[in-house]
Amino acid sequence: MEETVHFLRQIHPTYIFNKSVSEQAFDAAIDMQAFLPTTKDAGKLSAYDGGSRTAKEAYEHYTHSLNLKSGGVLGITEEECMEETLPFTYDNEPFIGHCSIDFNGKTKAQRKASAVSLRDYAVERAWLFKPE
Amino acid sequence: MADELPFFSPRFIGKRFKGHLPLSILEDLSAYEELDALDIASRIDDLMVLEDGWLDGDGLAMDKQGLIWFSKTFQAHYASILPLPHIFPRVDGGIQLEWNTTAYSAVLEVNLIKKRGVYFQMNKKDRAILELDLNLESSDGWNSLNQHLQILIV
Repeated sequence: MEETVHFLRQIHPTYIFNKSVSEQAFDAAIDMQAFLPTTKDAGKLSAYDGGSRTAKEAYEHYTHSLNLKSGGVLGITEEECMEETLPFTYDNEPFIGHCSIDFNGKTKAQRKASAVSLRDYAVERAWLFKPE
Repeated sequence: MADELPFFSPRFIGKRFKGHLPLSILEDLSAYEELDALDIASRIDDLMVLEDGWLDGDGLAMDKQGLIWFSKTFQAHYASILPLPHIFPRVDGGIQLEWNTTAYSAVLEVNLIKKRGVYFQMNKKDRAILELDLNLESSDGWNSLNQHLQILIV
């Protein structure tokens, strides 16, 4: 049975090096302001709802409609977020199919540990979409 | 005897190894290609060209003199038995070194202007986190880093 990947995360090309992905790609503290335009979104990691778009569709929306850079799409599940005690919402803001994973309330070290875990889960799952 | 082992001069694996390595440990050519990719000087060269806004409009360019300082001090102080880190830019204009094994993950955030680093080490099994402030202008700071990173190779 095919696994359900709930959250699709775009990985900026500078966070991919020599087949490794930086933990920063899963750290809400450095999430791009272009993708999180308001302060109410601070401390939240943006992702696409994997139930409403394929990884390729999410990549195309991100790079064409939002005109942002992505080196590929990795995925994580609700269960993995719960394992890290990270609340999530399918908030559909600023566009339909947008999700937020909330890192607020964690210390910097705890936040980094959760980012490492999410990165490891996602990398273990492998790229869901990678452009040619 | 170790002295009788055949030797191989791996000039293609970057500046980290200046001498010869015993052929007995050169088992997988791809591993050496990876070492080459992790060569610190070449990675620092990659980071030199990033300009302000490299992260879709965010992201400060790294201070070039700071990068040159880091490359030199890393090569002078980093223990040669330790695995080379992956180096990434940081949105604040610093750099971040990352090491990742199945048991541990370690991150060193480097402030290239203040020449200081914040080291995080995470035990993936028991979730214990170590956080240290390091002065990277001093041998003590590098010795502390080298000592803590030993956990990656035990």
